Amino acid sequence: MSDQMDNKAENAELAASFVAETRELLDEANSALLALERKPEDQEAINNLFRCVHSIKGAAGLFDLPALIHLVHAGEDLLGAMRDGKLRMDGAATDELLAGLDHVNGWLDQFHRDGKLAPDTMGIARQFAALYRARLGGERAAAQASGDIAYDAWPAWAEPAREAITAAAMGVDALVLLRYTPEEGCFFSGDDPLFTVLQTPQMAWLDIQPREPWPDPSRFDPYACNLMFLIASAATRAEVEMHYRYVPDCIELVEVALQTLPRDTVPEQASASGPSAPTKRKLTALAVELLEAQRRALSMPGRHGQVDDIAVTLRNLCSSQGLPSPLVDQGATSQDVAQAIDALLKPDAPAGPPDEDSAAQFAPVPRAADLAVERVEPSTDKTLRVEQVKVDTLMNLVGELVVAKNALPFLARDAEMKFGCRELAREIKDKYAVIDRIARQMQNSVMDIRMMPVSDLFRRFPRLVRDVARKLDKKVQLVIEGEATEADKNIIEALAEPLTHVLRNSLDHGIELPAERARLGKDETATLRLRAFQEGDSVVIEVSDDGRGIDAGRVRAKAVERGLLDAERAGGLTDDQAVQLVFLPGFSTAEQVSDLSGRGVGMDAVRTVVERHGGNVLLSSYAGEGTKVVLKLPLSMAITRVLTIELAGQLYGVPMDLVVETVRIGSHSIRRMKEAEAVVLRDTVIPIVRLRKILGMDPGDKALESILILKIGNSTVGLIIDDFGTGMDIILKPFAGILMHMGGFAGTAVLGDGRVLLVLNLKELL
Amino acid sequence: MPISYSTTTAKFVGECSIEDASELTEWLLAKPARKVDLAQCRNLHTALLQPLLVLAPAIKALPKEERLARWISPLLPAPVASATRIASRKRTKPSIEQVLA
Repeated sequence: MSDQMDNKAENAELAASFVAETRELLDEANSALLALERKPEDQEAINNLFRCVHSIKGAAGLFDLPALIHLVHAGEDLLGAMRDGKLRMDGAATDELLAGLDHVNGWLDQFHRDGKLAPDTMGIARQFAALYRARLGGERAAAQASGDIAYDAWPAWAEPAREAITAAAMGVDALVLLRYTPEEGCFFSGDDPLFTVLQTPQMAWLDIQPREPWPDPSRFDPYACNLMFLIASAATRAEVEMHYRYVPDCIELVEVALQTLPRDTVPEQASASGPSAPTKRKLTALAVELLEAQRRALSMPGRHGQVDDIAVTLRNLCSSQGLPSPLVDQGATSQDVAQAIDALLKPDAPAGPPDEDSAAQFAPVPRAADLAVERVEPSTDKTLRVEQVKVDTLMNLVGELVVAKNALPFLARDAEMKFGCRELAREIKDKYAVIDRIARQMQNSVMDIRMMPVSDLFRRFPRLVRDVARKLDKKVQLVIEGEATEADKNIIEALAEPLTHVLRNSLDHGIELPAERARLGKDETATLRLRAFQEGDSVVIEVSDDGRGIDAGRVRAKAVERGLLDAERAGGLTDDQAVQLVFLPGFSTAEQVSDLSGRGVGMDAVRTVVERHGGNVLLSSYAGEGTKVVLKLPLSMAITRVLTIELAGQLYGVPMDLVVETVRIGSHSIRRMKEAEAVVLRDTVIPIVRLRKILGMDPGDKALESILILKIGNSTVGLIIDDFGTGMDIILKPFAGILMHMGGFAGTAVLGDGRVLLVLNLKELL
Repeated sequence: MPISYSTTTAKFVGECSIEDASELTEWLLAKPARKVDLAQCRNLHTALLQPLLVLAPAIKALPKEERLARWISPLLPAPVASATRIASRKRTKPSIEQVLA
């Protein structure tokens, strides 16, 4: 019973890590796919993509997810063909693959939630598999039509049966020779190799041999598979590969031509290996390798333009080997070249040392190497997956340590003042310095753990931009810069939604349709730039486009129409100020609510989120040239530097980054205009407010007023307080529980002497 | 059970799966002269083919199923003459009774 429960817990754990890993792989696959769409020849991207999909399939095998595996498998086949250069990635294929990955992602959520997939998933999987397979089918047809299949040499194992095979395959031009060596333990995974073999498409010949000599009958183990199936099939390579797709590691597959190998070549080979055929033997191993490379190059799609290059290489190769050039001067067609290469290779290859040459022909050899590399990869980067809660706990503890440490100076002061013990006070201060240094280092390390590169955030955007652009029929190139810039995890996570919104705005409203862009003399493909960089203690994210910019006139009209502003005031705004009106709650210029934006959650939502995290948003726009939105956020939110202020005997904190300067001014210099008050400071009029009034306290008039000059957004405000305190680093804790919705305060912090400091949220108060 | 055993002959009927592999192997090992009848076998699991290849029992009848007939029959020894088959059948009957008794 307890065993069962253990098992269950283990399974749940396994499933959770499968879901997490697969999500990462899906993300990676998505970005690789997009990279590939831009650069279809990007070998690294296709390898990456293939690896991701392959790993997903492998991991999914542990669970009962037939639909997921079915879909991923078909995708893997398609990608395999692309990796081998048989197919090219294009927009439509990318769409299909992306949609497939989306389904996989959805199923993953389902699996995570319910532990199983809905019954309709298999249907979807079949649809996609059919789509992918259709592409594969097209590839096969294309390869047959162009006739540039590269034939391999006869493998050593097929040599003895060559005549039998040739006889069995009467009337066929080419054969696929396959050696299928099932794993010894394959029965235990439910395989029936014979069944698979008997279903081989268009099988022309079959031989079954023991893989290793049979043991003594008494020691024969019926459950150990010791068979080797030698098969010849008249089907295409792709069909056969497709049939054996579940056992790619167990098959060796070559495609041989029959018509180019008349029977009399057999005796010729024998002589070729002897000393009587010196010219044939002159090809060195390197030359053979080069020839094979040329042949591969020739058979790749899209290489026909380079036939001349290959012909030149071939001529040079022949002259270096002291052979007559098989090609007539200029103007060789790809077929001539292919034949010449075959002619040079054919007599040599089958007769060559079978263990070297023919082994190189077998597909599984490089594949096995691939697998080995794959397995090594994860173990090389030593990372630790830790739940965020644990890091948060650690950070809270460090925070408490910092606070506790701040009590030491108070203690030192008491030691000196109250107990008159200067020696002790100095000792305490010394120790404080040490603890302070260590605490700081600890703080930095914990902050470091929480730092994440913005690439984690940016990764989702290429896909978003691509999808939205396609939907809108716009051509957009997304340029991402500064992906390595790091910021606190919470900041990164908080930015996801606002950034998505800003990007959508750009795509929807900013960027023009290609035709319009062409008319304006712009490049049809718009550039959307996403840039991240660090600036002091802040991380800055810029989103800029080269679209039409924001029409200040329209913004004014819209704001008035929505009753956000009266016409007179709107008219008095400069264009630059008018553009800022988009930040007003409830503002939207979109004529119709689209799927993408214009649902009333506008830039004001963006600003709210960013400001809640202690950042700010700047918007600048030039009509016809584009728009730039700059989101500036603190690098890390954990430690806030505040200036303490005194008000009615209470200490309050004001975020230091808002404070421009502190001044003391005689109350007579405060100008009153009706209700409003202002001071003139260095020839600038600064409106002032009294904090006591805002917080509903008795006004306490003093002869000398302390004014905190603050910069909030784009405006400067003076705040009259009782007195200034000092600057200090605090761990800001937001209100929790019943205080959660209390406005006006950003949170609290505990001071070294145990007092509670209330930190004001001035953006909200003013 | 897709394979039914008499004293001398194992008769394969229908889908013959891996479950029978060890029994068949032991049965064949017990007496080397034992035979197999594949006539009505429709599917032969690899694990059943192996003992047939290794222990090479005499074949009483080859499979009639098309695929097996085409691909597997050539790899197996030719069936023993029909006269022996009749003789063996005669001998089979009393032995079943013996078993029952």
